[in-house]
This record gives sequence, structure tokens and C-alpha cells, in this order.
Amino acid sequence: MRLKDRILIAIFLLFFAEGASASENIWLSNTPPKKISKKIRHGMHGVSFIKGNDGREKKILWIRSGSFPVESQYANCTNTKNPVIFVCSPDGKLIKGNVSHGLWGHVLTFEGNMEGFYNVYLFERFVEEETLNIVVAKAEVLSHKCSNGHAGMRKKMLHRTFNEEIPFEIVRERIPGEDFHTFLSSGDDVTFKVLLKGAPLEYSKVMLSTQKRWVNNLKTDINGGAAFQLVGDYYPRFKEINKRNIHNFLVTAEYTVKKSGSYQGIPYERIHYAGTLGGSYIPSKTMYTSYLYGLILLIFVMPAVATLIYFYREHRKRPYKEYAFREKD
Amino acid sequence: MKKIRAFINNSNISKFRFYFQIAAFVLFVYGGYFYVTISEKLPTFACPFNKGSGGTCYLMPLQHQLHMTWSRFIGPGGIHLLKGFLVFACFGLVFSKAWCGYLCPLGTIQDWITKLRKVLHIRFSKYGETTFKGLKKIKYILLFLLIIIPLGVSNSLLWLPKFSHDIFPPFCKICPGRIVLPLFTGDTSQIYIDFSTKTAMTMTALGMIVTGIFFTGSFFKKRFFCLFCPMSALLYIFSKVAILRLNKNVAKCTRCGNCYRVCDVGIKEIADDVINKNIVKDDCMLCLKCVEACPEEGCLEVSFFNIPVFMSTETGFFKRYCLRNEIK
Repeated sequence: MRLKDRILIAIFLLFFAEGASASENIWLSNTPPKKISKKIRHGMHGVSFIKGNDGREKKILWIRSGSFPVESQYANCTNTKNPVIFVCSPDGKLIKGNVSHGLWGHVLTFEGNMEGFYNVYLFERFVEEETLNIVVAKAEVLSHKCSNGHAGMRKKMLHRTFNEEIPFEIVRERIPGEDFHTFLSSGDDVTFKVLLKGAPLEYSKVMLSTQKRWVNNLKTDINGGAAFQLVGDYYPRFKEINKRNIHNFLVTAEYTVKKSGSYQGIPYERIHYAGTLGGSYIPSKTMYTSYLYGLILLIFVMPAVATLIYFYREHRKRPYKEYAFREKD
Repeated sequence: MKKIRAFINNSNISKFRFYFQIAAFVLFVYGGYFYVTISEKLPTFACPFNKGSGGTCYLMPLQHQLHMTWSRFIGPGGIHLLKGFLVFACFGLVFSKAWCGYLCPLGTIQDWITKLRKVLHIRFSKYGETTFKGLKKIKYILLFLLIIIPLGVSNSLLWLPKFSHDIFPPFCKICPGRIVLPLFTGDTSQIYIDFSTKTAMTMTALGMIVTGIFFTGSFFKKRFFCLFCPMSALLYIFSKVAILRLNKNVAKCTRCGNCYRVCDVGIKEIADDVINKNIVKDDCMLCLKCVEACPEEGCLEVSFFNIPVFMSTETGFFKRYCLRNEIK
């Protein structure tokens, strides 16, 4: 690359990329940047964690900015200097979460090995162009090891919302029969509910974008729900299918309401709520499994075994022989 | 009291067992729909692949709990493994092998298939003694594999490379319960062959083959799968010290062989053993058909906490078998 081009790119990034962070969506992702991906360990559902010097596990989420899972930047991209970090453990206790910029990039970390979902929120409030922006980036981090047992799993699958602390959030409704081992897969119908102060919000704009930039926009219904079907985003050759290939999606929700007031002494005319929720899904089972072949094999085995038993029985049959006993003998 | 005891001893326990099995089947196959979860460490095939299951077969959590690195064995993983085994042991210590004979849904299905064969008037099969002795070892091999394979998925065994994750959970992949029990809730999703990798394809195809053999085998041989069941091998650990026991008063035994003839599994030792008092064998499922078929007063006896609850009586034998003339 020529020096002139490098300077132009640098100028572009300086003016546009930095400015973009304020208008782009902030979201929490469990996918590490490529250059450090080998150093990160992954748990259930691709949850990333690192082990500290003290041997304790720390769950790790990358703060990213952008509207598409792959293109989003890993950068120091929060809108405010000190965003509020809200982490709730599966037993309902608030635990400490840290935002740091270091070896692992710009990350949000927290400690915890309790079985169940950790609700993690990055919450910002700032005034810009007479608008009070309320930005909530949410992640549901599953902590589960099968070796720890599955006691009370159904209860731990229930949603928790924090109406007082988190005014705006996206909730992914569980699919029927979902448990800790369930992975969303392409073809699944997933409903996202938008809540404003705990109440379902109608007419909120919801957008779902996938790894390959497939986008669908919907408006929430009367129950605050927007139902999407996760599209197949992965079409390798049959021999190269990796059934554990995790694809990310990003859901964003927006809602603007006209309301004047002031925040930290700065007046505003309207409030703009923006929420994000990251997620992941795997290829559909129908891509690499066959019901028909299974059924054919099952049906074929049954008469085959029956035939074997029949011939075995026939083979063991002895020809009829008559014995005569004389009482005199 | 004597009257109650006589009533029980002379009653038809097979009939009671038939209805008890139906109730247990409903509980373990459909219980989940009524938010019933008895335990996750059940010594019976309450299959978690069936969405309506009212509990979980212990073999599933056992395989999962063994799927961990060596270092976790000395940590919380080891504690959970121990806790799980203790819960399982409690179940085993109380009801021993009666879990197989009275509560196992897969066993119940096999009994229903046997009933169908009887209706069709098709002769049943029995193994020869040598074949029986050879086949019964399979359950110990399966038990060994279901312990060693999960360990080999997480750890390198004998410096060999780790096993593919597609083999996990090894027993569930080939267990007919995974495929058969969901069918009772209208779920056919377990009938499939996974073509994603060679291991996955082999394991899922093996599952289909075993299920096919299960159906046909159970049709010709009573309790066909029980002879190969690793749960039966695991439960045998507790049967000698369990609260529920099957005792034999050797002095009263005439070695008529009725007990062997009615045994669904085909255990010969029950008639031949004249040394041991507690005669629960590794293949026994405590169905108590042998007690029913024994014509000797008090020769075979079922005790719970050393209190006799059901014993063989001459009157009972005549009432059950000779009057109906049906020792089958």
C-alpha cells in the first residue's frame, strides 16, 4: 500500500470511525478478535472465559460497535467514559463487572461459576443533539457444566428483568422445550420482546442482522414481540459441513418518545432508547441428518433379524424319529 | 394379620405388576408434561431425550459427569459425581433390581411385545447355557465403555489422542430407549442418521440397528435387552446389601425347576443355587415370577427390611398355576 493511501485511510478513520461510535450500536459479543482467539477458552454456547493468575475463571464479553456481527469493531467504543455495568448472577445477586482495555481488547469481565444465566448489561445515558440517549447493551451468559448436575434447570431458564435499573431491554423468548443444552439453529422461529420499564412496547423498531449481513426489520406487536425466523447463513459443500459452526446474530431495538427535560443540567426534547442483544446459532440439524435413511435402516434391520432367527430355528429342528420301546426289553 | 399375609401370598402378583408397570410407564414417559421430575439419577430408563420424561436415567448424568478433565475430579466435578452416585445408590439400596422389573419403561415395552407374541401364538426363544453365559458379559463391557469413553473424550487415555466428541454420550447414542420412548409422545426426531462426521454416522446408524434388533429380539425372547443392559450391571452392586431382597430357603427347595422355567431372563442359578440365601443375580429383575411359580411353602421369600412381604405358598401356587394349567 502506498504512503498516500495509508494517510487517506488514517484520515478517514480519524474522522469517521471515531464519530461513528456514537451513532452505531454498542453491543456485547462473546466472539474474540481473531488475533487472540486461540488464547480464549470457550464453554457452553461459545461463552468465552479466561483464567486469571489466581486460577479463577472470568467470563469475558467484548464491547463492539456496529450493526453487523462480523463487521463490528473491537474498539474503545462506549459513548460515555463511565458506562454503568450491571451483572446479575443466576441466584439474583448483583455482582461486580469490570470494563477494561488491555491485553484482551476492550472487554467486560466478571467472575462467576454459578449454574444458570448471568444477565449482563452495559448501560449508558447521555444527551446529544437535544436527545437523551439511553443505550442498553445486553447479553445473557450461560454458565453450565453438565458435570455440575441439572437440578432446577427449568426454573433457571425463566427470564428475569430489572425494571428499575434497566429501563429498556430486549428479551429473547425461549423456544419450546429449551434448556441449557439447546442451541438455536437456522430455521428456528425466535421471538424477541421489547420492554420499556418492564412493560411490553408496541411499535418499536426491531432489526435482526446475521453474520452474512442478512437483515430483517420488524415492528413489535401489541405484546412487544417481534418474531423472526433465523435464516440459513451457512452453505458449505456437504462434505465440509461443520455442525458446530457457531454463527452470530445481533438484534437491535429502537424507540423514540417526545419528552422534554434535562439530564445533568443539559436540556433535551426527546428520549431515544436503543437496545442490543447478541446471540448465536448453529446450522439446522436437517442439513446433515436424514430421517429417511434412519427409518429405512430401522425397518430393514427388524425383518433381517427375524429372518435370521427363523433360519436358526429351522436349522435346529431335528427330523422326526420314532422310538419304540418293548416292555420286555 | 395372618389373613392379610395369606391374601398377599396367594395373590396374583403378575397382574399387580402389569398395572404397576402401566402406572410407572405413564409417570416416566408422560410425567414431564405434568411438571413431575422425580430425580435425575433414576436407576431406570426414564430417557431425557423424551421431552415428557418424568425423570432422568442415571446413565445420562453419569456419562456427562465423567466427561471432564482429570483436574476437575478433585474439584467440584468430583463432588457432583460422588453426590450423583450416592443418590443413585440410595435408589438402588431401597428397591434393588425391582427398578428393572416394575419401573423400567423399556422393560415394560418388552413385556408388551411379549404379550403380542403370545397373542399371535408364536413360540418364544431361550438361550442355551453357554450362549447365556457369553451374552451376559456384554452388559459389563457396555458399562466399562460408557465409563471409559466419556473420560477419553475429555482426556488423553494412555497417551492416545482424545476421542471425537461425536461419540458422546456413547451409551445414549446406541440405547434403544432414546429412539423408542420419544415415539410414545409422538416424537420421531430421534430416528435419524447423522452424516456430519464418520463417527457421528457410525454411532447413529448403530443406534438404529440396535433399536431394530431390540424390537425383533424382544418379540422372540422375553426381556431380550435386559441381558445387555449396563444399568442392570450397575444396580447389581447394591443388590447384595439392598433392603429389598429375594431369599431362598435352601432346605425347602426340591429343585423342581419351576422358578427357572418361568424366569423371563432365563437365570438357571435360581434353581441350581443351593448355597446362597440372597439369590438376586446380576440378570435378575425382581419380577417375582419365580416366587409365584414355587410350590414349596416358604422356599422363596421377598423381604423388605428383613420383613417378609411375599412368599411362595402351596395354596398360592395351585391358585395361580395349576387351576389355570398355564405354566408357560
